[in-house]
Amino acid sequence: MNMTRREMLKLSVAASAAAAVGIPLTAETLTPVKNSGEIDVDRWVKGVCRFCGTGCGVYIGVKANKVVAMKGNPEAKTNFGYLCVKGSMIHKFMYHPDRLTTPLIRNQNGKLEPATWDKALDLIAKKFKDYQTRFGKNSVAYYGSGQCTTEESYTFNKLWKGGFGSNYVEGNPRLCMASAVAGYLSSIGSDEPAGTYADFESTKCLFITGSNTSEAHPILFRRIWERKRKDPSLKIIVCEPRKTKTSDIADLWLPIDPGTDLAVFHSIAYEIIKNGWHDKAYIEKLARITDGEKTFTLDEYTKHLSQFDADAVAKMTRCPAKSIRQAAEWFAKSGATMSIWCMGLNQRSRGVWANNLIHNLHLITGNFGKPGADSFSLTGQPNACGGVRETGSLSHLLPGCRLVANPAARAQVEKAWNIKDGTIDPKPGPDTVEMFAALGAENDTSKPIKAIFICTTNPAQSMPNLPKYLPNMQAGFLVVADIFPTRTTQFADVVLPAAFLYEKGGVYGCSERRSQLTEKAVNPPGQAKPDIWIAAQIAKRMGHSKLIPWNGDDSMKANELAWTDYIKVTKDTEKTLWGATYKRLKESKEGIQWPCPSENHPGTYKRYVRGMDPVFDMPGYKEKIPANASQYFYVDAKGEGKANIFMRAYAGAAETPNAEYPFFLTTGRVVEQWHTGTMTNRVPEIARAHPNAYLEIHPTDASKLGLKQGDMVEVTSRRGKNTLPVRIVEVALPGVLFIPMHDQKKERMVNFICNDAVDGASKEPEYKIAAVKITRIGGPMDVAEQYNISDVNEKFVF
Amino acid sequence: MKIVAILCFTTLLFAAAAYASGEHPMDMEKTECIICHSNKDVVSKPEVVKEWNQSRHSYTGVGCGNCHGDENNFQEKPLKNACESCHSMQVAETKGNVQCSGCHAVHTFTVHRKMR
Amino acid sequence: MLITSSVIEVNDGGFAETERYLAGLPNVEVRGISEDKRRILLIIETEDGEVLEKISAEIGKCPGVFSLLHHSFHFDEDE
Repeated sequence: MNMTRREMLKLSVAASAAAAVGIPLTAETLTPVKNSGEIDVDRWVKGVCRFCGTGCGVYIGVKANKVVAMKGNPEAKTNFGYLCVKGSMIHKFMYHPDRLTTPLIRNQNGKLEPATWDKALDLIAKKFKDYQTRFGKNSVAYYGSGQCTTEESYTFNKLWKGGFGSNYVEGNPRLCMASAVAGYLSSIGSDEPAGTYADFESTKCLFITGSNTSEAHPILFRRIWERKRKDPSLKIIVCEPRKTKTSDIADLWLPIDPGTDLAVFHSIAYEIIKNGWHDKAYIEKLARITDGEKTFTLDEYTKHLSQFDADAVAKMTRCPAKSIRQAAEWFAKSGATMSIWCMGLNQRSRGVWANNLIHNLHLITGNFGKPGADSFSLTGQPNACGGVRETGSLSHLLPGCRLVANPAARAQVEKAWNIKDGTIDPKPGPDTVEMFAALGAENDTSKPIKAIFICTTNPAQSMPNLPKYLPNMQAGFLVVADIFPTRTTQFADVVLPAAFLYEKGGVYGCSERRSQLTEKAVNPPGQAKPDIWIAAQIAKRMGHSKLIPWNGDDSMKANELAWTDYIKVTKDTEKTLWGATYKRLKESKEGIQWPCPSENHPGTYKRYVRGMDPVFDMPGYKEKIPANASQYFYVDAKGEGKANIFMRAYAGAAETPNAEYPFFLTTGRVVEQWHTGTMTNRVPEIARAHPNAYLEIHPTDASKLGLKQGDMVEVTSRRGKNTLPVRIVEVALPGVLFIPMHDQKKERMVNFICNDAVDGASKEPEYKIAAVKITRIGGPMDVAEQYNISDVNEKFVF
Repeated sequence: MKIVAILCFTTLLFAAAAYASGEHPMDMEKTECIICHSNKDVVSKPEVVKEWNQSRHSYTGVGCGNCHGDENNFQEKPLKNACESCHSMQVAETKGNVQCSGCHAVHTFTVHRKMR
Repeated sequence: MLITSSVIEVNDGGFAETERYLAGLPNVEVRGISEDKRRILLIIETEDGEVLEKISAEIGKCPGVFSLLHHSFHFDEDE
């Protein structure tokens, strides 16, 4: 036993005794002594959590050039110093022995072999150039991630759209946030929320739907729960197809059959207007009622809504009419209502409509533009907002979330990038599902995309309807940059070892429009490199070093150059970050919320409100905003400053239960595991808590099928199947099953089952609803495998 | 009058060799902590799981592993570094070597343990 | 190795004498003093229970000490 440990023991024993007998410890005991149990680091480096869209501020503890601890940043305005189980354990997987540390090239025998960076990059450039020459500029695509830094996404986007002239740029936010984006664009005119998390602390009524906030955004849930604890008068309404822990704090619980929530939202709107609880003045001044083409009167809208009377809706879904009416009254009369939602509304074949209907409720009740009132879409990933949506790294977008189809936007970006007029293609590229459908082998004329660069995401596990897309990934030329072997690296022709966030630094922009900078804390292991360096090296080899000049080895310098380039392009847009210089972001403990047009601007709490939103005074906008307008939706396509109350129809899910597939299946995350589990499942504490995926089922359903706890079942959809142990829980609703998405084991990868039917407008797939059947195959088996793909040459036989 | 009395009060703490090296005293295999620790036939204080379930930690997914580690880095009585990741301000204000659990009763984590 | 936490009850006016006496004993550390100076919290570090008994007896010889009560024992092995 060394002195340090002995001293710690004595101190611990003394403290215990002191507390028990009520004797204060002496000054010598109280004098801070090293190794008193506080985390021992050389320094703490400011940054952001790697995981969800909350954007928790962190400090990264570095000792002897390794990350050894994490702690929350108490001055961060998102989390106030708290972290969830995932964020607090990041250091526990950073140095896992499975880390990719050398480039790998697949040889003739199908084995991945170590290679130098030069060899790997030269091969990539050669293949890309070859494909572009033989098959056209759009034969080489990029698929990025809401987990790349903003600087990285911006760089890849610039290279593809400004260098190759190709809009074949997509990212995994297509699979999670596209419906929210399209919802904001169609309802409000501009992407991303008007308000911020601060509205939690002043709202009087919180409507939570399509979100298991307690597990998917636990630190925001904590914030909500604290508010409820301090102010029990806050009304919380939860509308969900599973009775998760989130509903524990609900004053009103609205259960729904999956896909029928649109009817409930319509019904709430009808009740509000029928009872005269709507805000007539607000509707008249700041909204129009439209179906996207024509406008309608309030009477016409009310007549349309009358089919969604609460009693009628209660017959089509399990939500009681009384509850719908109560929800409507609270929503309308609270004085300040806030709604939050996430994948439950977005990952749907009618995701855009679902988003529109929530915005409708806020518009008809005037719940915008004041503290505590907002329709706030929770973002799933840490940088879907900042990195992909705001930089325009999707196939139809340009930086500032503008459209490639817009000639003025193209001209402005071409000028800012100093490239030839007409370089940017006006035709949008394919969405993600289309992209992976079009990917294939050189000699397959039906597959126009021959190569794809996949960065910081795992589509071979996360794409829905895997049986359809896995053969394409196997056939195409895949370049994959990641930190661990994954299902996707199993198909890669070139694997590039990537630096982790704290090994390179960069900006993440979270759900509430807040950009926060992570400083580089440590060097990456082995030969791993930052994605921005990889992008710049490919650009250099393909003749685009002028476009992407930030190709040095210092990742923070490269980041700063890329960031400065980006904010220059968007400086005159309503998403401006021109005032968020890198210097400011480095100094700030809390990040900066756009719009932020100048260095002395503090950032924006609430958009569309004069005095709070600097866009009211920005050239290009101020001329069009009436001087007496205190609120104005300045991105209204019609130039009237109005938002759109969408008169949508009703449609359920693309696939609903029938005799053959009698159950609804929904999917999602658990609090301990992130996405496909490649990081979190390598933390022993987390892997122990969730060693495998399972099927959650209601006791009534289990009993009808003769299932006991832990029995093994096959869950089958029209697309594929899983073999899983059963978990019988009261939180499930009868007829609705749940499988978490984090298991890397093929038999338990839920995306073999999930539906790739997409929303017609957003092209986001309906992960949340599939129809399945269950077959019992035996009693309990030990499947607590804590399975990770460790061997890069392990084959994916599907 | 001098009375020297040696009495054993509460908590006779036997630390086996396993504790000394940061290993859980028995092989955990792949079992979740709460399976054994809620079973009175296996552990002496199964009520800790119930206590934890009543705490704020259980609401936000702060489970056993957060504070106690896993099999190979097990901490029977976590020091304040376990609390520091989320409560860094409070830990910084804690006087010297007093541990958080000295005053904040595990596992319910009410604000203050009853002081005599 | 045995680490023991113990509480001494002090006779009226006996605090100063007890404090001086304890300072002269090996293996004994004063870790807490009550506000009324009637009780002292000690940490005693010994190889085993036999040595603890000897030290306890020594403490008992101090005129200022009314009683010595052990609160908890922590057994450990050297690494």
